[in-house]
Amino acid sequence: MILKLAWRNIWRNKRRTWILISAVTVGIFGLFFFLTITQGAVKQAIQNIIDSGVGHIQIHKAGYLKDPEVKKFIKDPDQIIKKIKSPLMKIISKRVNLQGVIYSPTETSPVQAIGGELGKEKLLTRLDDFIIKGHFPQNETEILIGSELAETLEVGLDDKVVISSADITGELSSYAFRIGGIFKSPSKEINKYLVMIDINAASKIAGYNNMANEIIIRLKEDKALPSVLENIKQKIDSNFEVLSWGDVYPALKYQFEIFNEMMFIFGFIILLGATFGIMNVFFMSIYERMREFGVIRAIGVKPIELGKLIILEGLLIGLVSIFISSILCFILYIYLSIKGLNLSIFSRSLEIWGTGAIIYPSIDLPSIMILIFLVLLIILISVLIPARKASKIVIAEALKYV
Amino acid sequence: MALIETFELCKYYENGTIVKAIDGINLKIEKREFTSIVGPSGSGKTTLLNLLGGIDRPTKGKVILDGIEISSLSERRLSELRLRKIGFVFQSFNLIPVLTAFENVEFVLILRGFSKKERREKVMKVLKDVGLEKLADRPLTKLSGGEQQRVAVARAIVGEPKIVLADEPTANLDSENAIALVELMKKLNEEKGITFILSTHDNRVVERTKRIIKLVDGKIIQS
Ligand SMILES: Nc1ncnc2c1ncn2[C@@H]1O[C@H](COP(=O)(O)OP(=O)(O)O)[C@@H](O)[C@H]1O
Ligand SMILES: [Mg+2]
Repeated sequence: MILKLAWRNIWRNKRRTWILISAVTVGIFGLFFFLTITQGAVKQAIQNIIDSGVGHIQIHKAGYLKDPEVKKFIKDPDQIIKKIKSPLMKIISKRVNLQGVIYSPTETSPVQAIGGELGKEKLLTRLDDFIIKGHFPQNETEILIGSELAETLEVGLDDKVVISSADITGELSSYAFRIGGIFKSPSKEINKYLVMIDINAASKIAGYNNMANEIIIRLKEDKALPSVLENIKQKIDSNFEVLSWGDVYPALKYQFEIFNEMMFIFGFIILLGATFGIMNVFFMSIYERMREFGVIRAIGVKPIELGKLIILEGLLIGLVSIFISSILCFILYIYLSIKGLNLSIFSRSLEIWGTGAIIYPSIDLPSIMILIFLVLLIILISVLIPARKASKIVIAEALKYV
Repeated sequence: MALIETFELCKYYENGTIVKAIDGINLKIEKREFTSIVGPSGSGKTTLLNLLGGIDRPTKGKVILDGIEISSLSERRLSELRLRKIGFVFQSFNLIPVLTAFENVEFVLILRGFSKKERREKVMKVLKDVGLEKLADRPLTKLSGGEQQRVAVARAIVGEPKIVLADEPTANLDSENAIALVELMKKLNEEKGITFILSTHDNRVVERTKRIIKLVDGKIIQS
């Protein structure tokens, strides 16, 4: 009965109720849009980092991340791979990474070379997808370089370049390559310094013999990261460092976390603003019904029951709004999932993050739950004071209103 | 024992000067009485009925209703007491506009916790008593002023209260409807033994009641 009464009460002033519902709906819709796009952007950015060659997990000799010297190597990488391999991993591979200088006949540039097992690297990074000319390296003599680097070096396909880097004894060592392919990823940085070569070529430069300085792991699912990380740490000793992508780029990881928190704070502030609007409307509706409340109280409704009625009215409006906005949000989500949101206007700032210009939405169930919870909480807070006011009326006074 | 008894009942309002809305009233109402309170506007009729019905609290003095001293009860207990022992009819806008006639009457029984079946029986019975059984499911906006007041009477009596307090129940009705409403109350009083106190300044209403209490400036001048 109290539900029926509350439901009919909110439809007494249809216009006002619809305005309130629209406002709340627009608020939810806007927040959802914002949340799903920002979460999508962050997810894409993380994915791009993982795709850029960082992978989910990296294993090095301890101290390598801080100071990646050639002499910090893993002696028998194949044996470790065998030890830690798990079905949760999509790819596990060894690498010989080099930092050095790349020469063309006319120019030089600093370079970061991944010397990888080419067949696996093709799946480990997305560089293959970003190739604009040529193909992924197929043997020791071929190299894949970024478009910016190609410009700097003033080279094209089939041109010769030389990579020089320190070897295990500290001597400078060089190796010549033919440009097999040129890629262009969304990140200018990567296009400028990253190159891909075969692990055997890299080993020759470094003077390695069945050694590597990195074991890289790509997981089947992002979710599995913490547990796999923990598992590996237990299996190998402290001579090695086991790092997640977040450990490799702590600043970025931190930035994403801050960003997510900021979104929720931002949303909360918006909703807080809404609180005052909702509260106002409810005060209005209560003042209009003073006499009626007087009568209801006179015939025996307890103060708390009257308060509950008002709160119920608020929650019903909230639920209707949530229902309508769920439909709208669902449509939006489907639309964006197919079309994506083209943010090329902002692509400069997005590049820093390593996101592409087209953002696809992403949202998880907990975020939706938090959003719904926040909306109901805000409505509850908004109607609490009016409800208290209604429950505290002096009946004899209220009955004088007409 | 009297159904209602008051002792030196006073209600003062203070805003700059003191207004003695009710000023030292001693009154006894017995079961089955059919009483009118008359007096000019501002004489204290509404205030007195509110005090008797536990809607308002006295400044001084006591109201004993059915053996209970009500002025010291908590708001919660008072609500409970009003629900179980008193029926109210006001001058106008008595009813919850979003509910039908049936639902308005039923509301009291829901608060009292009656089952759906019991409610249906009781509500239909009182609606029949007030001659509205055919209009039970009409929205209130489709009822005339006289019909609405009769719904209010039905709501007041459906819980079988000790007493019905009616504050100028006929003031917004034309004389034909006003007389019909008082006749209805009189019939309910005579046939079912329901105790009524109603305030009015309509003589044709007054002359149909059995006891008349005259109020002037918050004092009883004739009882
Ligand atoms: N809330 C109030 N504040 C001040 N004075 C009031 C208040 N309520 C009633 N009064 C005064 O009390 C007196 C009695 O009022 P009331 O009981 O409404 O009279 P009646 O119902 O006979 O017209 C009047 O003088 C009125 O002005
Ligand atoms: Mg009055």
